[in-house]
Amino acid sequence: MKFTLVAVLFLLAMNQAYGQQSIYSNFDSVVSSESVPINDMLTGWGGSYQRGEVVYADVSWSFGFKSDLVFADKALGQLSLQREYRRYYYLNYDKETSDYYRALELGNTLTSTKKLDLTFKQFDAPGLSLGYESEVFQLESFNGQFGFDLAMYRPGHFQFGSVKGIAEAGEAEAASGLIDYRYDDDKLLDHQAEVDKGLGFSISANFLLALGAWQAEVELKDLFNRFQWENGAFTQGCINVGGGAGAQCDAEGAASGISGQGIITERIPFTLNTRIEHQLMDISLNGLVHDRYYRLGLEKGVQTSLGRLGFFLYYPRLAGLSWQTSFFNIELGADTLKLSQARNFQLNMGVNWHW
Amino acid sequence: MPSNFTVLLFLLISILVSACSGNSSSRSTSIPDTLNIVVGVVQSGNADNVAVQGVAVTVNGQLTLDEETGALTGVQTTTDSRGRFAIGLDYDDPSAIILFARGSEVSAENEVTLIQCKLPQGCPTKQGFSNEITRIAFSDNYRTEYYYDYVVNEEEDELPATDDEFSAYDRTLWSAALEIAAEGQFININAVTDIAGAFSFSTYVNDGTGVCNAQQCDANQQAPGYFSKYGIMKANTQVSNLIGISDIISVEPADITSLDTISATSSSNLQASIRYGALIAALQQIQLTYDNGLADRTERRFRRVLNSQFSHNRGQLYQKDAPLFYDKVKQEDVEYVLTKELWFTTAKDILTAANTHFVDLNKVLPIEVGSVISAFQLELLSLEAGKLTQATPLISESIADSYNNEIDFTKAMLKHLVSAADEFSNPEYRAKAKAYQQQLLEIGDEVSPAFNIITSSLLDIYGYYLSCTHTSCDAANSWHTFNTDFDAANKTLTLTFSAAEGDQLVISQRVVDLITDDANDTPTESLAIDVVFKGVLKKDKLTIITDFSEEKRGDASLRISYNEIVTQVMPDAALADSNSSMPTAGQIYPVAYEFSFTSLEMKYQPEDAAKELTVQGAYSWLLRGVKDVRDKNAPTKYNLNNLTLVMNVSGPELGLLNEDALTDNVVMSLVASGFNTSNYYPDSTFPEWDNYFVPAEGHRFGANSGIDILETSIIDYTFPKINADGSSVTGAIVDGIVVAGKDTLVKVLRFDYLHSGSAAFVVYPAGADSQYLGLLCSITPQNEPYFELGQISNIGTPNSSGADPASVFDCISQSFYEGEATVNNFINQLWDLDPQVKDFIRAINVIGEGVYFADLIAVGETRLPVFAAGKAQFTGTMQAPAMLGIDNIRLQIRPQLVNSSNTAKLAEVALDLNLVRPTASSINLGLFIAYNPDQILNTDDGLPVVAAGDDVESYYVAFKTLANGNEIGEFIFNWYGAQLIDGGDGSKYLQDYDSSNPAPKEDFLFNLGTDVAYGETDANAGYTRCGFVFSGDDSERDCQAIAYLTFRGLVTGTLREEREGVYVARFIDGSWMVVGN
Repeated sequence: MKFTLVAVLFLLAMNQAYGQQSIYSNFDSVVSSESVPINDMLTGWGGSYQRGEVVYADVSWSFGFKSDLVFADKALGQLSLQREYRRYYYLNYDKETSDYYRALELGNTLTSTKKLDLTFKQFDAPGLSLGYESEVFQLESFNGQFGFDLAMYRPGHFQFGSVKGIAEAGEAEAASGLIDYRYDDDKLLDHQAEVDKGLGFSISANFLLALGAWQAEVELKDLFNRFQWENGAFTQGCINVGGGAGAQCDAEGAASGISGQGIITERIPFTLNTRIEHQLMDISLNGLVHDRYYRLGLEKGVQTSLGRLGFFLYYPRLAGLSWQTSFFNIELGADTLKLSQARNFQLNMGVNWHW
Repeated sequence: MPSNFTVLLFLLISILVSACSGNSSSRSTSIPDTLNIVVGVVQSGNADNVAVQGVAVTVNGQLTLDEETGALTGVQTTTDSRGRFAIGLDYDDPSAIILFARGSEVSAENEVTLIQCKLPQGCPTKQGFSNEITRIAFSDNYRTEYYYDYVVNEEEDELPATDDEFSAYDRTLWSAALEIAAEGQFININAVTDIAGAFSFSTYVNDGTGVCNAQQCDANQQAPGYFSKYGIMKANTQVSNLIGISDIISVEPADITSLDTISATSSSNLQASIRYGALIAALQQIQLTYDNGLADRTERRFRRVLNSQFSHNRGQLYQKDAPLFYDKVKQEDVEYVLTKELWFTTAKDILTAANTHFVDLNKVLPIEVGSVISAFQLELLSLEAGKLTQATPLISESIADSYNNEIDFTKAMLKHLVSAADEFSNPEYRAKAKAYQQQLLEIGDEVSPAFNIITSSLLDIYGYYLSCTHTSCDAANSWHTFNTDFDAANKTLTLTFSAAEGDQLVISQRVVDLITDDANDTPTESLAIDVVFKGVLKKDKLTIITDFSEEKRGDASLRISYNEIVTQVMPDAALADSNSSMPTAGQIYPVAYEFSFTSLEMKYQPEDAAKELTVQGAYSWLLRGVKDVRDKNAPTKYNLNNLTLVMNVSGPELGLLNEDALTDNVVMSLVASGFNTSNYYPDSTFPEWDNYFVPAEGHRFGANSGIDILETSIIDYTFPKINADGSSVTGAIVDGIVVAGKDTLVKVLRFDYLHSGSAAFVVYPAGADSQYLGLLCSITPQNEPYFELGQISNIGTPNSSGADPASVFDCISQSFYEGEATVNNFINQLWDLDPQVKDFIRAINVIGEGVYFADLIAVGETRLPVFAAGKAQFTGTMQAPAMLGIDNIRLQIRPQLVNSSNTAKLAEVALDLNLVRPTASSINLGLFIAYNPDQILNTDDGLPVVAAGDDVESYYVAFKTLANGNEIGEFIFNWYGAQLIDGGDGSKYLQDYDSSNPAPKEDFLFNLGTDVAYGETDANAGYTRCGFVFSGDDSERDCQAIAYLTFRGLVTGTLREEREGVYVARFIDGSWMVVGN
């Protein structure tokens, strides 16, 4: 039924003699790691370190088709259908937790008791999304436009969970805490579970207002989302390795708990993207908030004979360049030219063939 | 995220999972005296001559296997023509039983097992390799081969198109799992019970999908890989619930072919029987349809696919319109082979067709047939698309509680073992033992230097003595000042330490009479000389009396053996470096040193009388000399061949009991020996403790040989002429031995192993049928000279031994082969046979180093190179390093300690260790420790297992590695007078009986089984041992070793090393614990 509806809409879109249609492919990535360089997140916290609370990465590659939607010679907006592959990774932790993990990695002793408070959310998923972008309409003296996007995912690998406890002063390996862990492949111990792919959806929306040369845009990505695995694996328990008097829980042995498989339902925080732009000056103020991760920046564009060249600068530290034509676009930004030491990184690329 | 736990393995886990199995005798297949006869039926009757075998489940939740053959073992019988069987199961055996129904013959030609067609429309079959469908008429019989599952050995079937893979399938038709076999019980074995049986091996033990917290969880938990009584009960009752039968094991299914004659005690029973029979017949039709759709019979694995899909869905079927199922073997989505709609519809249709069939024959069927058809129709109406069934097991609350209790016991025992060292026996004994151990350690610290001095002194005296016997007594030697007499004629040296009587040591020698069957009992020359020590040797606070016996018959002697005839003890080349008095002329490396101290006493008398110690005992050991195979000029080094030690260590008098002196004392006995100590060239001249069970330097697993160890060449040779059967017609090849009489020119691919003989791959010319005879033979190093001369027998010039002539070749394999008659084709055909032949071809044992695999295969290749006629050399890669080892050790220790008030003896403790360890990773070990045993129960081999008594605590750990690389172990813990205490947080723990605690005093007998499997074998890895105890010791293979935890015959969980050093016990209720602190 759903497929039939989509097919009808696209037939409607593709049969327009005068509508614009395009095929496009995009690669979008925003990666940020506060405590250690992104590379060290993958290989170990042995390099440069600063206290932090957030690691965030949202990377997707998409390939799709977009077409004007015209009915009875009336433009109804644009419809898009795209296949995508998405990797999402979000860690939020207490600064003391990062101290603890750093000490554990280096084999250092802790000079004071550290709070362990970690929440993590991660999944990889192919998806199929259907998007709609309205025509520009009048709202008082403003021009308005809205759009929404419904994405369906078949998530494979996933890890969600939290660790809450303490690590008392002394040996970093001594820690006590409660684990609540959901996954398809146990990275903590080795719970032998066979987990089928899950099913998820995410609804995103955007709204644009323009007044003269000023334009404001708000995008709410993953505004409503839900990911579910029918036989997802879980482990809950207590770790108590030399927890001492401050032990957060009682464990049999060094750790104990329960593992099993069942229905696992997860959600991720939405992402708020805002942009205020003066089009004549080609200058914009951009903001992004994803739970505890945020960034704020400026972008200045210059039209050249080869297309638009942009410069952007964000807080936390990230600077970059962008180049756009009617067919291609690329944005590259980082907080250092030495990418192996980068904590913030952004790469967007796209190709758009329209007719 | 932190992923490492600091895990301290508890006292016994290191021993426990390294312990032995003295009592692991294989289960007898003979019928025991205490028989429980059960009867039953295979399929739904008329399955003729089906072999039925009852296989007990081990304490580790695995099927009992014959230790030698690896085959399932258990009582067997066969069905009669009605498909009925009776079998005697041991009702004393607390284990669950798995019954298997199999084809009863071993070759296609002799197949006599027959299955009846239960389908009124007939059974379409494609028997054998034929793709033609033959329709078997309703109620006719046909061969069971159609039902075999071809999955088991499919990898070994290199040429599935040929008929040689007849043994490459599992002959099992169906199985049934029984949690208990009640006397006279009726038991079904059919396609339905088979589903439940397989499900019980991979079962989910809890129900519901409720919310979990850290203490409990209602979600279903998978407990794969072992049978448990609980799991069997759950699977059988859940499948019964699924198909609407009260009990799939005991309700007799109706024979569809005899519906007109069936009867039952009640209408409901009759309906159940008809329903069951129809569902079994439906599975027959579904399987035939499935298999008929396959082009190749080797694709047939209906049972496996069905059971896999059923277990995947936790014992549920899709009601109808099932989604696709991801087949991990095929790595693709496939359709479900069974849905409830398909099953019930087929059963309904079969009953309808049967009704028509019998009506056409003017026979009347019971009205219940119509009732069952109606019931199927009604149930089919309520099926939902894409939904799983919701079948539930029937487990009584008391049984579930009981099982949960066993899990609590297991957890409590694991926790107890973590701290067993601190909780063994009782506080008083632990305090005393700890103090005594500390005292012994302190004494040891003081005695050790003195003992070392004594040892070096003896060797120094020996060198000094040789200087006296061969030149003149070395005046520079420190012992020279004590030399009060040297009798050169009798070669007797006397060292006098003081004027006190007996305070001297006399060293002499005597020629050993090795030829005892002649008249001369006092030879003047021999291959061995005894150096005899008599008297006393003093050094600091230590005194050694060479013979403390009153009769003075216990000579202390050192027998030195040579490889040449000598008249006296000779200057010693092995000891020359460490002994400056050793004469330089005429030095010889002895072949062996044999020490024999049959009545030796050591007294340690420090100023602190409380630390006095006396050790009396008998000691003997033999050091055997070994040469280096790589360097004949390298010095001889020595391995410990055997050791015997019996001693009584006693301390000072602490008090009196009935006028008897009370002393702390320990009686110790140690017997050790090595099987082949000449097969190792050690790193040091004399063995040191850290030399044992490690490879020599440079010869660890994976090391390159550094030298060529294999040389190949192709040689023309003449062999006996053969007839079409491969028998020789001139000369003979009898029992693998090639004897003289040559006529046929053959090609021989010679593998010259350089250090250990040769292998010969012999290829005869192709015969008229285009087949050729290939022989795989070996040639000993002694026979290689004859081979070089092209001889068949060792007669002629090289044979100087005078022995009877014998064949140069010893052939272990002889067969006809297809294809080109070349040695390269022949060796490649052998190479493809199986991994064992691969290993045989490339394995080369280098004495003293170990087994190498010749580097025949180039990097990135999987095939053998093309061998040329000319010589080619190959290095090797170490696969199984030789170890300096003592193969067998039996150590018994009995401490007898005095209580803290020095008024009485404490309870006795017994420790018994039995170790058989031919290599580092091949081990058979048993360890027994008991506190206060009144009685000790032994295995058939005389090794202690369990101690009994009113206040006894005993631990028995058995562990061994099997030839296939797996490990099995057993732990028995017996504690009389203990309590299981509620920890307050849902956990329980064990403690000594405390009368103030209301928990009852109990006797605990735990049996914890460890059965470690290594996952799938890696044919390319060669020597592939790695695992639970010897994880990664000598292999690069990743192991998945699992130990099964059992309590009172029930499997309660598993133990695995889930992360490096992190051992996790997972219990069948879904809970887990990291073992250690």
